[in-house]
Amino acid sequence: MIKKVLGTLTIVALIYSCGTKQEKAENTIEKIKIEDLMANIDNYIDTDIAIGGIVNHVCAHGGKRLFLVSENSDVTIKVIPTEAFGVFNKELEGSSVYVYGIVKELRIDDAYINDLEKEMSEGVESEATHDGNHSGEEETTGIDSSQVQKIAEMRQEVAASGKGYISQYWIECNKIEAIEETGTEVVEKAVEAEK
Amino acid sequence: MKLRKLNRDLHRDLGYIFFAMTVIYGLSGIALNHIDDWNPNYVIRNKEVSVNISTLNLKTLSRENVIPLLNEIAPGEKYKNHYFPEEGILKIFIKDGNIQIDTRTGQGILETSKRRPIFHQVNYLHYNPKKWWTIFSDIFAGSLILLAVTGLFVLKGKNGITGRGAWLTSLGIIIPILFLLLYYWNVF
Repeated sequence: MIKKVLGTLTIVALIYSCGTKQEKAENTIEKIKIEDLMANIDNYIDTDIAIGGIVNHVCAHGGKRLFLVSENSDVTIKVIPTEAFGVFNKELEGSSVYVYGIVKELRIDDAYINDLEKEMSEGVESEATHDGNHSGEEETTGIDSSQVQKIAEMRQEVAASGKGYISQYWIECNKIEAIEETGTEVVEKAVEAEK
Repeated sequence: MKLRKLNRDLHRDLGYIFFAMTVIYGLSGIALNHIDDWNPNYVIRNKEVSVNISTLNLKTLSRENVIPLLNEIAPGEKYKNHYFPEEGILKIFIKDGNIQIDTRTGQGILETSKRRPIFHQVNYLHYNPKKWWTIFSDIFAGSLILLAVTGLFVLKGKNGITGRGAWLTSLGIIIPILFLLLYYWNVF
């Protein structure tokens, strides 16, 4: 009998400690606004963070991309869901949220652009050219004039960078929290993935 | 004899179990095949709108100022948020869409999006929304192969795999091979 009770208590204690550890981990994540993140983004690469902003656009075809903007400037960052999160709900558009996730960087140099151009001509869609405009979602075969222009612009940017590459940043999102303002109180509620 | 019965039973039961999955992936497959021609997930509508905003002070534009403006442009729509994506453009988010207004002319576009019934749900499943769904759909994909193989040996005789079945199965194999020869290997 004692063994059974002790066993049950151990399991309960383990479950409780796992829950509180996760809660503690979430509480230690730094919350910053998107404009502050973008101003110092190199300091946050591969860091767990919560970024506050407005959901400007969710890709309607699959909900696999979301674009977060700042309230008072034109700063934008792309957000991609983790496999565990699922897909984004289009109804999030216009919501003030905190996006929890890891900041990622892609360094684009001439070799990368050459590969990208080759892939585009073979009809492979790339994250590097997906900027929230729907051309990237709709074109699936061949390379069109807008893609040629994007490639040319990227080459110019790499040349102008002076360091041989340009960086693209995005967030790998594992949780979204909606910020609801009720009078003077600000309430944060976890948002579920698309249903 | 026993093997044929086992084959038939397996084909029958897998067919029953994965009936719904076959319909789901069939529908979403058609939808995604034509992704360039339509949006299978949402019905998106655009409407031109215009409003007189010359009296508004855009620098101090708040929620309280935007809601009456929204009521004028699109009565009944519920305000969510607003911001200026670029100079001269005001974007107002509403419950199922947004309105972008050129603040110099007062002209704008009201975009609304509504979930497309059935297709929204089947496409959601097709996009592998969760890990366990990926596992389940992998089981389904494996079972489809098993269904196809067991299907070859359900019937005996002139309509079986040694008769009519051989011709039709060959046709089904030749079509994708022909396509590969034409467009993948560029043989001709």
